[in-house]
Amino acid sequence: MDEVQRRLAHIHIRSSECKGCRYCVEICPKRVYEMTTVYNELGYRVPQASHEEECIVCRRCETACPDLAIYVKRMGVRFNRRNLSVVDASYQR
Amino acid sequence: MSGGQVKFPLDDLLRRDRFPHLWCQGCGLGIILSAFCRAVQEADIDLDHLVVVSGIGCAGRLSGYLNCDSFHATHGRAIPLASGAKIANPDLKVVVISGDGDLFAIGGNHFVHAARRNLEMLVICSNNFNYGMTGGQLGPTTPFQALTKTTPFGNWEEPLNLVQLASAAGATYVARWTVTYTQRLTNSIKKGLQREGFAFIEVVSPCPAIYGEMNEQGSAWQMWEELEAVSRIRDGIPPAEASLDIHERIICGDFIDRERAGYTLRLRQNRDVARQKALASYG
Ligand SMILES: Cc1ncc(C[n+]2csc(CCOP(=O)(O)OP(=O)(O)O)c2C)c(N)n1
Ligand code: SF4
Ligand code: SF4
Ligand SMILES: [Mg+2]
Repeated sequence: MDEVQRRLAHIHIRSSECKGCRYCVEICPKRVYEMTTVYNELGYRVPQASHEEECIVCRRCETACPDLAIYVKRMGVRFNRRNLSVVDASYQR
Repeated sequence: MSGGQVKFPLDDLLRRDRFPHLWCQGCGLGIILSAFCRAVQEADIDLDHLVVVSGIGCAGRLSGYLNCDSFHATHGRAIPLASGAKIANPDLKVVVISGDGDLFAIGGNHFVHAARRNLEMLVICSNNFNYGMTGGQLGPTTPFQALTKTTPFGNWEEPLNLVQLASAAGATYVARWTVTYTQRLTNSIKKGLQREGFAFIEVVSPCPAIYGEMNEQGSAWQMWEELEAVSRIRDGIPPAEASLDIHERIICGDFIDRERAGYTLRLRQNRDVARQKALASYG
């Protein structure tokens, strides 16, 4: 449950449009990204958000991505009687 | 994790069917495109009244990715085309986004006179210090001693300082950023979009594939790190002090922010005066 509480974002990556520049990997203050050994159809090695739960939604990666291939979606935390669940929050800057 | 079906916030502003775009790995042009879209969104610009014009070059391809009326003008003629659109329909929000070669070599004179006339438009120049698209020739912003395809032993010319040129010619808003200042750049574009006058923003943009390669600047990320290391923000300093030395110091910020009646406003006022005078002279 701690895991769920800490999670602030869902990171979407359009891997098929990524050109593997590494900007997101290097720039993230929370070291969320990591390079994989996967090559996309364009022939570039793509990153993945391995530590999504660490994200603080600063949007540095999203604004720096030269291929407009990252979307950091902010999540909201909703309480109900039975459990704690993560839901999509409306998109906000 | 996969972004396949999810709608991204900028999707409505882009011609998604043209992606992935044609720019190289780590090229700054995509960052300019992204900052421009966010600025349009934040400034709440109506896409039906937005016209974006580009010239020829890698930067010239930018307008084609935008989901609004856009023109891919001939080389150097983005500003004349934009001027025509604005004069014919002053209700339009007109923006020119193009390269250093397109705007300041072949198109240099148009820039000077649009700024002098204070034509109500925003001009964004992607300055990558060379002609990227044609293989990396020397241009008007190529640094002293830089290596290009046409100066393989080092450039012996002095580069043009675009901020100083725009300020001297009469622009009402002048700023410079590097692509590493993603948020400041977005705010600055927003400011430029909201202005009724000639606004100019120079964006220092890495061209890792050609310029960076020729000048042994390493990977895209190494170019980014160098840009970050040498850039300083000095808002409001006199343009004369807004120097740009690519390996030593790149001064960024808002340098000019002043009011002056715009060209199409004066044109309309003058047209009314001329009409009255003409009528009076005919009795
Ligand atoms: C009339 C004419 N002359 C020359 C060219 C060849 N040409 C194409 S792009 C270009 C320079 C582009 O440089 P810049 O504006 O800096 O754009 P970049 O590719 O660096 O983004 C030139 C000289 C042309 N297309 N048309
Ligand atoms: S939004 Fe900020 S913290 Fe989250 S992944 Fe991107 S750079 Fe890292
Ligand atoms: S040649 Fe340079 S400016 Fe053109 S797309 Fe490649 S990196 Fe960008
Ligand atoms: Mg150029």
